[in-house]
Amino acid sequence: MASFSAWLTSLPYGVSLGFIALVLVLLYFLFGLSERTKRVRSQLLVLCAMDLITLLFFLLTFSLRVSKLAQNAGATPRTVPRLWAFLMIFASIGAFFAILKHDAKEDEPFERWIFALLVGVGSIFSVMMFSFIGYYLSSALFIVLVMVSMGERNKVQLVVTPVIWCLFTYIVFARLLFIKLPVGMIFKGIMR
Amino acid sequence: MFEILHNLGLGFGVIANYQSFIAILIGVIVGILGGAIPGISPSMAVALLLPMTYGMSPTFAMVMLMGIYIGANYGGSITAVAINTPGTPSATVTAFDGYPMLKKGRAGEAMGISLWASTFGGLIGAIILIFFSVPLSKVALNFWPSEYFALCVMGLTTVATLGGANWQKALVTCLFGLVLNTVGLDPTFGIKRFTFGVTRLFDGFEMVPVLIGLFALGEVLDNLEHYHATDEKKQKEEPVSYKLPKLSYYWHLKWSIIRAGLAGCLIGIFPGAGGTIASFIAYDVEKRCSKHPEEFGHGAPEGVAASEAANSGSVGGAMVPLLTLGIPGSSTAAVLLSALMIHNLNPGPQLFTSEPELVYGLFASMFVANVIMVLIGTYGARIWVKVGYIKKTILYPLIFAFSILGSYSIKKSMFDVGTCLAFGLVGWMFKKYRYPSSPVVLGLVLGKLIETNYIQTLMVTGPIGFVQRPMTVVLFVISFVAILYPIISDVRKARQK
Repeated sequence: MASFSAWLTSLPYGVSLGFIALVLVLLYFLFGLSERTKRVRSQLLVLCAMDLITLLFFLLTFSLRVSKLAQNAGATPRTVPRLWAFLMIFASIGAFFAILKHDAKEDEPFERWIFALLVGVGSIFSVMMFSFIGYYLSSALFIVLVMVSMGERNKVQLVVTPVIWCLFTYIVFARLLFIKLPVGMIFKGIMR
Repeated sequence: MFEILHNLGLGFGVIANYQSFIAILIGVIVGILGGAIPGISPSMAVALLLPMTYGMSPTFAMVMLMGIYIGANYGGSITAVAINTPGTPSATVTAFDGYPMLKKGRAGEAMGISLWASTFGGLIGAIILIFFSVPLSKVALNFWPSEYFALCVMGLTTVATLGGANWQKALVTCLFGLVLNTVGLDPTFGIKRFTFGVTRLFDGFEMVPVLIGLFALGEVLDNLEHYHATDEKKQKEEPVSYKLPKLSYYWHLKWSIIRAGLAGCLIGIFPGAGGTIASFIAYDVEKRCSKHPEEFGHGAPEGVAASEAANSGSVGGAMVPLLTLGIPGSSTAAVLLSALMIHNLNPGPQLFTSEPELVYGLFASMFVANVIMVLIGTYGARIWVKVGYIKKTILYPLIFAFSILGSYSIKKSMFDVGTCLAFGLVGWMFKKYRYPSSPVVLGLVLGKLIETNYIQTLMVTGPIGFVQRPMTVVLFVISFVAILYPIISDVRKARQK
C-alpha cells in the first residue's frame, strides 16, 4: 500500500483529478442503469465526487512521513485524515440512502448551464489575461462581455459600468490600500 | 464594583475630547469599509492602519484600532446581506438568512437587524469585558487541549441544525470541509500533506476565497443558469422594502441578541475560537430555541440577529485574554497586541494598575465606537440596501469581478483566485443539488483547531485524556445531546405522520 501511495503522490494533481473525473463518468452511466438511481443521478455523483477525493487523501496518507516522536506519541500526521475518511464512510452511506428514498427530491434539470459555465470559463480566461493586459483592462472587458451576453444593450451602461468599476478598484485598492493590481506585460513594456 | 465604575468614568473622561472622537470615527469608518470589502479581514484593516498610529499617543492609537476592529466585524455583514458575499468569515452565518431576506424584499429589515444586533452584541461584549475580564481569563487559561477539542466538537454539532431536513448531506459536506482542511502542513509535526507539490497549498486553502467562491460565485452561477432577460421586468414589479424598520421593531429580537451576544463573548474568550465559531454556535442555539426553526435559512430575522450579535460580542471576549494575560483571542487581537507592544505597553494584569487610563479609556471607546457605528450604519445601510435596485445585467458581472478582486487582494495570489473559482463551481453544484455549503465552512474553520487539540491530548495524556476532566465530559455530553435531539425529533415527527 505504501508503494502504491508513493506512486500516487508522484503523479501531478491534474492526473489524479482526471482519474476522479473518469470514475465519475463511469458512475454516471452506472447510475443510469436503474430507474431509482437515474432520477437522482447528479446528487449521487456530487456525493461520489466528495467520497473519491476523500479516498484519494486516505490512500495518500500511507506515503506520509512519520517521525519517531509522532510514532511514540501514538498520533501521527496520518491520524486525523484517516479519522475523517473513516467517518465519511458512515456519513456517505446515510446520505446515499437518504437521496435514494422514494420521497426524496429528484435532480433539478439543467437550464442555461452552458451559459453559466461559459461565464465561469470567461472569468478564468480574464484572470489569465491579467499578466498580459493587466487587471483593469481585463476586468473591464470581462464585465462588458458578461453584460452583453446577458442581453444588456444600453450603450451608456455598457461603457459607464466598467469605467466606474476600474476607477473604484484603482482608488480603493491601489491608492488607499496600496494593493498593487497587475498592470500586465504589455503596459509594463509601454511604460518603459 | 464601584471601583470598576469609577475607573470607567475615568476612562470616559480620558476620551472625552474631539481628538479621541475623530480617532474612533476614522477607525469605525475604515473598519466598516474594510469589513465590507471581501478580502480585507478585520486583522488586515487594523494592520493597514497600524503604521498611522506610530506618532499618536497610546490611548488615541488604541481607541482608533479598537474602532476598526468593531467596525470591521459589522462591515462584513453588509455584503453578506446585499450580495451573499461575506466580507469577513464571521459574517458567513449572516448570509444564511440575510440574503434570503433581501431576496424576499426585506432588504431594509435585514440591514437594520444586522446593524442593531452588531451594536448590542458589541455592547454586551464590552460590559462582560469590563466586569468579568479577570475571572474569565482564568477560566480560559485553565482549559486543556481536551476541553478545546470538546468545544470544537460542540461547534461541529451545529451541522445537525444547519442541514435541516438534509442533515445527512450536511454531515457529508461538513466532513468534506474537514478533509479539505487537512491539506497543507500538519499543524503539530509540520509534515506536508496532500499538497501535490503546490507550494501555495502549504498553508492549506485560504479561507476568504473559499467563502467567496462557495457563497457569492455559487449563487451567481446558479442565478445565471436560471437567468432570462424577462426576469428584469418581473423584478421591477415585485415590491421591495428598502426602508429600515422603526426602533420598536427590534424589541422582539431582544432575547436572540442577548443570548447570542453572551455566547459570542464567552466563546471569543477562548484563544483561537473567534467570531466565526461563535456565530455558528449562536445561530444553532437560536434555531433550537425558535418556535419556527423551519424559517432558518430562508430569511429568519432571528438568524441574522444571532449571527451578528455573536460575532460582535466576540470582540469583547477576544479582548479578555489579550488585556489580562497578553494572549490574543483572535487574529485581530494579535495585531492589537503588537500595537500595544509598539507603544511600549505590556499587556497583562499589571496593565490595569500601571495604565488604568489607557485600559478604561479603551473600554469606554468600545461604547462610543458602537454608538458611532449605529449612526454611520443607519445612513450607510440606506445606500447598501439599494443593491436590489441594480439591474442583474450589471450586478452579476460586478459580483464576479468583486469576487476575483477580493480573492486576489489577500495575498496577491492568482492561486487564491483559482481557489475561489473552483469553489464557485462546487458552490453552484451544492446549491443545485441541495447540499448545504455552510457545513463545509464549519469544517474548514474548525478543522485545524480540532486536529491540534486532538493530537495534543493524545500526546499529553493518551486517549484517557478525553474523559479525564469533568468539563470535557460535560461538553461531550452536550454535543451528543445536540446531535441526537434533531434526529430523534425528526423520527418522532415521521412516525406521527
